[in-house]
Amino acid sequence: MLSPLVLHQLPFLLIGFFTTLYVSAVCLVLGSIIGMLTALALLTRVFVVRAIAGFYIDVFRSTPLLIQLVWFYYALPLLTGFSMTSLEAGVLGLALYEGAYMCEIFRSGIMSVSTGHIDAGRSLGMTPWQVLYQVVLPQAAVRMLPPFTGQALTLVKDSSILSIIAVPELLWKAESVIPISLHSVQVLTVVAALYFLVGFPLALLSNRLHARWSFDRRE
Amino acid sequence: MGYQWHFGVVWDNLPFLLAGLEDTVALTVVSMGFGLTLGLAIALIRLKFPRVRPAIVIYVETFRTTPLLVQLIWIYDVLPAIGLRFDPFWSAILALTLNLGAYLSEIFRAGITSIPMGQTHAGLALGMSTAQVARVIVLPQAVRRIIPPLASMWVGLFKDTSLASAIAVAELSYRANVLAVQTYRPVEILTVVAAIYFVLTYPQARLTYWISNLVRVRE
Repeated sequence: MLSPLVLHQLPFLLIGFFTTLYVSAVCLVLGSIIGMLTALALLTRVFVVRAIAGFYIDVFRSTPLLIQLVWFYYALPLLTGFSMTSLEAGVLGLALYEGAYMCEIFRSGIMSVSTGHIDAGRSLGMTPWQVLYQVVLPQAAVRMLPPFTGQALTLVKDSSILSIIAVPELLWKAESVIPISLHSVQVLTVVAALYFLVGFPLALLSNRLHARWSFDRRE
Repeated sequence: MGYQWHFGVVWDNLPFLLAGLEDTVALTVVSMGFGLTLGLAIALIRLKFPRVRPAIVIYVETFRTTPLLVQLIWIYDVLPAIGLRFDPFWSAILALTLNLGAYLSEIFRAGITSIPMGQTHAGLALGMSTAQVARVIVLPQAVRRIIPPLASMWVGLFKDTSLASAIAVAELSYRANVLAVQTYRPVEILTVVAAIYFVLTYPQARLTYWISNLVRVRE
């Protein structure tokens, strides 16, 4: 099936695949932290904090990831005199982009908890942080999980765009071995299969979770 | 810090950039047109002929769990291998259409199956024809559930067309990269292009939000 020339390049593709997994994992963690902080910022009473968080979300959700990555890699160093490797620029760009989407997931999860629960916690003498940790988040987490899994799948797929700024992840590795292996379609099919290998279980998990907790109290 | 901005470069090349915007819009409109047709056809075939379900599931899951960028490059490379000659623009249209078709078919299917069968049976029991049931009972309700996800697909698609730059479609992002390299002014060019995307995407995103609230089904 696969040409020997392509088989010979498989180890290189697998190295790229591990970079993809590694970058995705790092960005998932960073993006979640950014998303959570932004979600909390949007729920504060301080107008300036809300405005900054809103501006961040609007900018990052209304421009293509491709342009953001290229901007971070080529324009930001010239502006600030602070240079980054392609991997650093890629991780920064992807984490900020996914964070803007994660924020919406966290925010609607938190908002789905009825305000009566929050008032009850407060009237029992809990601090706002206690209410957040012990009342709101445990309930919100269950409702956040299905869209969060879906977003993780999107993140793994989006990480392929890092190839445009030469981050040595799966697609970049593939493009660099295509001239040697002479079989671009075979190489790209292997690449697609590797993405499917991560993506399909995530899609299945997301579907399962949706089916189990498909109630959205706000609708 | 202390970067000297020179927007003259962008001003001089504005016609070149705006010509790319035409391609961005054309890619969005044409592939959405084809994608809607394909998605609806697939959803109806899947509901009408359960026997072809496995084939449709494989198509849908393959296109939903692999990156669009990989699909674009794969299709661009596979077409000549099977003796078809497409220019980059139509190759991108094909890839975007197949990608959209997979997502949209699921949106249509979910919308149609969300209407309880009892209503169909009730309509038939009242002596309505199948076509009447579809036109008068199922579709008006299904459309309200289909429009919100459809609108956000549109916004996503508008941004995703930037990926067509990877197969040398001369749309906005591609021209931005060309200019950034030619003029040695990536900061100004990429910032302005990001701003162009923002100015065009943000109102669409707000409109999407507004429409979604307008047609939201309350249960």
